[in-house]
Order: sequence, then structure tokens, then C-alpha cells
Amino acid sequence: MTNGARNGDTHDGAGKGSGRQGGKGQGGKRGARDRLAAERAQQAKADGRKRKLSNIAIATVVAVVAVMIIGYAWWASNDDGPTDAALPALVAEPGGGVVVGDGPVDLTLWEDFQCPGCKQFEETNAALVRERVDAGDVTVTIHPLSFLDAKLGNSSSVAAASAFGCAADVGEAEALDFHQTVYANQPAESPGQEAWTTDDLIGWGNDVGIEGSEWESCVTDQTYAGWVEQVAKSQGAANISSTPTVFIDGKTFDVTGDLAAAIDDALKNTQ
Amino acid sequence: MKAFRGSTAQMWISTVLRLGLAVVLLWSGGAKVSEPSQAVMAVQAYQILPAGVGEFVGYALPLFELAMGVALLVGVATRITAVVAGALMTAFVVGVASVWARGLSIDCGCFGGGGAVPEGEANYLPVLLRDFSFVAMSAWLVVFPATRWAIDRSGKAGTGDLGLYDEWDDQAESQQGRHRRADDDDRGGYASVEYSDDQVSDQAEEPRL
Repeated sequence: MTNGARNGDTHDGAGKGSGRQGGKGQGGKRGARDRLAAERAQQAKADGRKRKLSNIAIATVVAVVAVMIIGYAWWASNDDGPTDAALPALVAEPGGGVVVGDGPVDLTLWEDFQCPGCKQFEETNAALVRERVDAGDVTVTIHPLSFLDAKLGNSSSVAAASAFGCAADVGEAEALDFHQTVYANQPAESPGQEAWTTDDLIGWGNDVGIEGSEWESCVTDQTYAGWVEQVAKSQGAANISSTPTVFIDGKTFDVTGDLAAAIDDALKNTQ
Repeated sequence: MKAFRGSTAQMWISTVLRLGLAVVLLWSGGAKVSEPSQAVMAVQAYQILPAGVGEFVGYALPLFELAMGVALLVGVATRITAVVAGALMTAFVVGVASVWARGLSIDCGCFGGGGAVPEGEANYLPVLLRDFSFVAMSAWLVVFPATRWAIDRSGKAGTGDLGLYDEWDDQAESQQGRHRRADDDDRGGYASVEYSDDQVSDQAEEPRL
């Protein structure tokens, strides 16, 4: 029902009333009511136009915002990071992990240098992984993520991951050593504070025999920050929902499980 | 119900719910928007969407939550925003219930964080109850979108409502003049408005010009 119709009803009611009473000078009042009703109808029409216009404006804004969000999310979820980033020597492709060893069993690790669970996994399994790499059983691929930087409000994950890339330029053993040393020195999570300084990272390299101006400038300049960003972007497609995530020959390995037994099983399947 | 719609109580309850839901959405969106990688992980922990879609949702969801939060905060297009927010909250309820039923152990990632957590650390019941209450808040706003302090209702004509409560506006406008009292504020006229057409004949019996 429209305003006009409703106003008309009201008016009719009033009109009948005055008709029955008859001849009491209601004519003037009735004329005033007519004018008022007409004014009101006009006002309602103008208001309706105004409302229609503002609805169109709001709908446009809503649509533009929605399209912008969808566009941005589409772009962000398909962005693979910088295309021209320098890659560490042990990284085969943009966004790829650091590859150590050449054994038949693929051990793939997704971690973050600031993740306590990763520290725990490293403490439990680092020696075993080293042993199996040296024995030629395992090829280990390490993807250093950096999502904890945003959570902890620092940039330590990117710094350590980039330095890990620098270590991977030196050699396979050095890469694993440096990796293990960073985890050994991982402090308890303290949001808002850096977990380590550039000098800490350089020093931990020195501890495992990585030295020289090249190492220092690589760590200081975060030469591989672009690669670290590529790795971060690859996490979505890899369907990683926590760290550490460990795959053995593509199958998820329960990180609290027996890694040696799992590698043995995988080894049997390859023979 | 008839007398309740448009009453001062309804307006204030709806206003509180609208602002409450705005805070919830701004908080949840804000916590996630600065951690896109974590948000993507949180979505993927549900193991419902394929990897590519999950990644897209991880980026888009926080921004949509923020946009809806802003819309509710200023009270623009309240009803349609409440419809979308309610659908979103329902999707969260379904998602969490599905995770629970499948025996996965995750952090819901509702207000940042998220991802898989060690067995036994997940606690789904409070999350479900909370999300249910958000669904209820949204539903209320869909039914009673008229609030105070809202762009939707500012000005003489009802503006910015995307035409979703035109019917209600018509009622308001046609009776505003007759019902306005000296102590009414700008929106006071709306407060005495009835939704049903019955009101029209009531008015005809007692003209108050």
C-alpha cells in the first residue's frame, strides 16, 4: 500500500464524519485537510526519490567495496611473491625449500624458526635426519615459513629464514647445522620483541663454521628475504595448517610419532 | 509483537545488538587482517575447502568482516548486512561442528590465530555457543533492523536501507506528521509506528490532525 492510498483512506474517513455532522463550518477545515494531504503526498514522493537515490548510492558503494575485497583476495591468493628474488644455492625453484641429501625417501618440513613445536621436533629428530641424509636414505626439503612474525609483532622469522638461505649457499652440512643452532637458541615467545638480532644470527653461523664478509653481508642485508616471501606464499597451495608440518613421500607424518620407523617404512616401499 | 516493533525498547535492543555485532566483526576481522598467512592456515585447518579456495577465503574473510563491522557500526544497510553476517556466522557454526564431528583438533581461528593444535587442546562447545549467539543477534537485526544512531534512519526519508524496509518506511512517513509530539526527537515519530495495516484504520477512527 502506498502513502497516497493510505492518506486517501484517512481523509475519506474524516470527510464522511464531517458530512454527517453537516453545516458546521467544516468546509474550510476540509479544504485545509485536502491541501495538507496533497502536500504530504508530494513530500512522500520527494522522500521516495531521495531514498531511491541514496539506496543506489549505498548499493554502489557496497558493490565497489565487495569487488575490491574479492579482487584483492584473488590477487593476494594468486601472488607467488617477488618473481626476481635471488635463490639460495640449495633451492631449486622460486618458492622452493632448501634441499639437502639425495636419498630415495622425501622428507618435507614446513616450519617457522620461531615456532616452539618446530624447536621440539628439531631437538627430537635433528640427529636422526642428519644420520639418514648421510646414509643416503633421505632427501630433506625444508620450507621456512614466517607467519609468526605477524603474530609476534617482530621480524625474526624472516631474518632467520633469510640467514638459513645464506647458510644454504655454503653447503648442505652447514645448512643443517645452522638450522639446528637457531632452534637450539630459540627463546620463549615474547610478543613485540625480536627473538634474535642480526649479530646473533651471524654468530650462530660462526659457531658452525660459517664465516666471512659474504656471510655477514648476506645475513645483514637479508639477501634472501624475497625467497622467504615466495616460500610464505607457497604455503597456501601446499595446504599447510600448522607448523611443523612434516610429509614423508607426500604423506602427512604425525610429528609426535616415530620418525625413524616412518622413514624405514618409506624406505621399504621404495625398494 | 505488533506493539513491540518500532517501540523504544525494540530500537534500543536493536541498537545494542547492532553495535555489539559490529564490535565482534571489527575485532575478528582486525585480528586476522594483519596476519594473512595465519588466516589462510586457520581456514585450511578446517579441511573443508580445497587449498586454492581456502587461500582465497583466508585473504578475503577478514576484509569482509571489517567491511561488515564498519557498516553495522555506522548503521548503514543494517538489514542486508545482518543477513550476510548471520549467514557467515551460520557457516562458522557448521564449520566448527563439522570439525568436531570429524575429530580434528584445531583452533577455530575466530579472532586471529588458528590452525591445527595438539590433540585434546581443542574446545569446540564454547565456540559453538558463542557463534550461535552471534547468529541469534544477526537474526534479531534482520527482523528488527531499525536502530538509533544509524545512517539508515537519519534524515527525513529512511535512507541507505537498500530498499529492504521500504514497507516500514512508508508506514513511518505516512504517520510521522500525525504522531509527532513536541517531546519527540527527529526519530520519535517512528517509535510509535505500527507495522501492520490495521493501524491505518485505527488511525482513521481517531484522527489527530
